[in-house]
Amino acid sequence: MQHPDEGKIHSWLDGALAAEEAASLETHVATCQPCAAAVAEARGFIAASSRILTALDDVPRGVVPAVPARKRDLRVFWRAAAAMLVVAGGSLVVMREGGPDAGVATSMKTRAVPTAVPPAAPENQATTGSGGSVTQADESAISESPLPPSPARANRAPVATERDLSAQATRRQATSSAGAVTGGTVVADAVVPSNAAARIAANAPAAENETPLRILRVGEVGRSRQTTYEIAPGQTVTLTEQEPARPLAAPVTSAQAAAEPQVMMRGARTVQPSRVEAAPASPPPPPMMDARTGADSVVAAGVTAMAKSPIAQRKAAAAFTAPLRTITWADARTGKTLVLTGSVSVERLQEIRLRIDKQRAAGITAP
Amino acid sequence: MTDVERLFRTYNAALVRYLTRRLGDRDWAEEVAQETFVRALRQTSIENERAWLFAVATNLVRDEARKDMRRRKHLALLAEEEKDSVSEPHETTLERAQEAAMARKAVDALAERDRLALLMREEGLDYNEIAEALELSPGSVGTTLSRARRRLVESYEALQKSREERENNAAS
Repeated sequence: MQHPDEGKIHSWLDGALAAEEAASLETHVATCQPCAAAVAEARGFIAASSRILTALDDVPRGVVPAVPARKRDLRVFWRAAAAMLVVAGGSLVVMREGGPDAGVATSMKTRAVPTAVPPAAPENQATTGSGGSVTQADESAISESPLPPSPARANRAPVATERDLSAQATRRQATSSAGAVTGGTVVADAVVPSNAAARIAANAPAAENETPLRILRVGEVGRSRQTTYEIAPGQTVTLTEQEPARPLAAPVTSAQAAAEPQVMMRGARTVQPSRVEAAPASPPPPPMMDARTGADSVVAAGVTAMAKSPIAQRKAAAAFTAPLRTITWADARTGKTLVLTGSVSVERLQEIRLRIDKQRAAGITAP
Repeated sequence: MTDVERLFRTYNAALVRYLTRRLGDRDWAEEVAQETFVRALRQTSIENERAWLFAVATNLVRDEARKDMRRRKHLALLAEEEKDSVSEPHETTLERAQEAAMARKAVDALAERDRLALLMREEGLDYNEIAEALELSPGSVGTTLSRARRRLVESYEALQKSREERENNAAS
């Protein structure tokens, strides 16, 4: 066989030659030093050109010169990952403190001794009380969500004071970029008299509160009951009711939970370090694997997926652009843990929560 | 699932990547890919789907590129701007942006036919499909590809070398 030209060698390496021709070329190359070198060079060109072309995939979208998307996504991803660690850590602390009143003990401590709030590392840009009362994963998510329209607030001003205080406290704490101990005083602001929530719920007079929220559907997810409320055309929030791990002697009284709603923001994913986890009666599952609610299992799946592939990372990061927020509190009557989730601001969730409380108190729990 | 849906699911990713590499703009690439599938919708039957799709997409790009050279220049300009405007130069990001710019230049330096054959091959088209899409003889695909690869790598390396020299000069 005569020496194959470069085109033939590439055809061979690309598997484009007929079997017979390929076999004879292979035999030739095995014995011909210059051709073996040419084959090696061709392999190098094939690999190198593939690599060069891969660099073309990292292009900006459209013609707007923005921050390269991948960089931004990763930043959000790391921030979320950091927050997740903090949440996990917080839950662990709660669990380790042990004892039936661990949840209360921890949060009381937080309130009384501001320094008990561990300052989050600044680069995490996430804050959490050791009781896990407020965790912020994505500060941009907060700045993106303006407060609800003010006229409604003005109408309700006299009644809304306490609630606003609490909301402000939450907000201030959540947006405190130092990420730390302002929490001490702020949490104190948020301590509302024990039956305040109920009182607010009973009194809330604003016009929009008069009509009950429309219930779209009610379903069961595991041990939890899920109710979907329509808060505006096409916009819904989901209420998840979890059975208390123990009967009414649950470590958190409803009043405390009401005074100190747990607010967790992690973009689209939410974890709630339910107080129930602190109860020793049933051995708590590892915090990230807690699958009692749909949301939690999504988180677990999300974490795994994120750890797995860059594509999944980007997808997960992309999901953060429409942040879901969650607030958690305990039902005054049943002791159930209630989790409200929706793509609206925390303040809005708090308002909706009051309306839901009122509706539930009136026995409206089905479509 | 309709046939076009199947075509879309099967080939969209590869087609968009091919077009992105060809055009340097993902939005534009997606537009062209969509238009390609719309054209597929009008066909009663397509013998070799992949070759047909890549050929149509390539022709669309050619037509549009002819009409819209200005846009491309604008894009190149923006790409340069973006390269300059990377604030807090993150080592890896900067490095990658530079690599992408050099890759772009090296690819743009290829003859159109060589470039398209290479990009199609990277998307897994076999020699017959490439020949069909580009109206080449199957026997010449190997030669086209070998030339494209060699030139691409050589011009990339030349760009790399001149960059290193520039950096060395700047450092000294």
